[in-house]
Amino acid sequence: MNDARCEEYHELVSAFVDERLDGPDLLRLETHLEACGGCRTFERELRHFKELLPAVEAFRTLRRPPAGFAALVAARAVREQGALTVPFPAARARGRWVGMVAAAAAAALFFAWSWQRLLPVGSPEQKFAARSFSPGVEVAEAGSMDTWMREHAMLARESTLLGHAEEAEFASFNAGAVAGR
Amino acid sequence: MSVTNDVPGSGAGDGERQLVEAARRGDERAFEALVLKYQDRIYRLIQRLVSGSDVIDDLAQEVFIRAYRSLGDFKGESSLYTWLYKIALNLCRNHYRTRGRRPAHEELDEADGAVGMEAAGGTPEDEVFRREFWDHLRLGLDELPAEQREAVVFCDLEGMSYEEMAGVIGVPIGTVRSRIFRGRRALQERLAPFHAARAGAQGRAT
Repeated sequence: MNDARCEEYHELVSAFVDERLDGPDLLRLETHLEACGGCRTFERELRHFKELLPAVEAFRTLRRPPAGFAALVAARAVREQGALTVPFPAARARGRWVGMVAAAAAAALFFAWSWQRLLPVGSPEQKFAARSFSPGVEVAEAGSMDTWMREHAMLARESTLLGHAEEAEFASFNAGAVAGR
Repeated sequence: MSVTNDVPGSGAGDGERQLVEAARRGDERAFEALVLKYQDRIYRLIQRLVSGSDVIDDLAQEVFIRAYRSLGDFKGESSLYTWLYKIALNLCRNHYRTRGRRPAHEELDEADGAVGMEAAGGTPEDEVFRREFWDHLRLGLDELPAEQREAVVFCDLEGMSYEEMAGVIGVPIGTVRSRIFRGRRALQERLAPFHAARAGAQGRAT
């Protein structure tokens, strides 16, 4: 037996060689394997492949971390801790308060940006708008608006990854509000 | 501060939990001990997922920097190593998105394979086989869709369980199983001409 139905069994064979098949699927596959030489060959090849892959890779020379890597990374991580944007649990209460202030700053930023786009380039109104706009403490600490935006874009990705929907939404808003500049 | 030999994949042991707690409080030495414990695994994983030796150090460093930033969110429900793998996988995905996937057919590194194979012993024919097989395998991995490559790497090279993979990749176990199968089959098809050519050469030699 070696027909289109074998395709369906091949995925079971793959799980079978990983010893991840049980119950009715296992029974069904074992029954099929007794009758199907093609699938038995596939099983044999797959087992061989699964053994060969790490065996061959074992002879590859993988790079190892340079000497002092752990110390350097730890020092950098702790040094940059002051610029953390994802708060630790103990700092969450303070983080919320900072977040509200930052949200207000972001809203003001977005408003100023929208207004500026409506004004003729180089007009006194535009210059006034640029001078009068205060990006807030966060932007000042970041060093520049672009840096602040990039940090928020990164924070949005990290927060999404970590499942922090609220932070992700907030950071996306901050990053997106200025991204269209 | 000492590090106990917790078995990766078995969840965080007491020693590791203490290190995590200390690192959360800003203990640099504790975090250094954690980096020391997992740096080899993270380096290896990155090299398996991403081609190009120029980015390995940066990506590995970024994994631990991000881990430190998010240490407050690590609840210890999964093992620390799978949590680190999740961060590493995400960074690798970002990398091959911005680089337009892994650079397929990238020139093989000078050091990639040569030294290890010479040291491995065996007959010259064995060495030639391993080298050629690895070259074909690497190109085959490069050509796989990212999700299948990740599945094959995690299962067949990292030796992770389906459950661990599901946690790291963030998909159901059924999807893990399907991706492993499709990745293996695609690689086998990619390597079939190599095996056929080798069998032909052996036939002519005898």
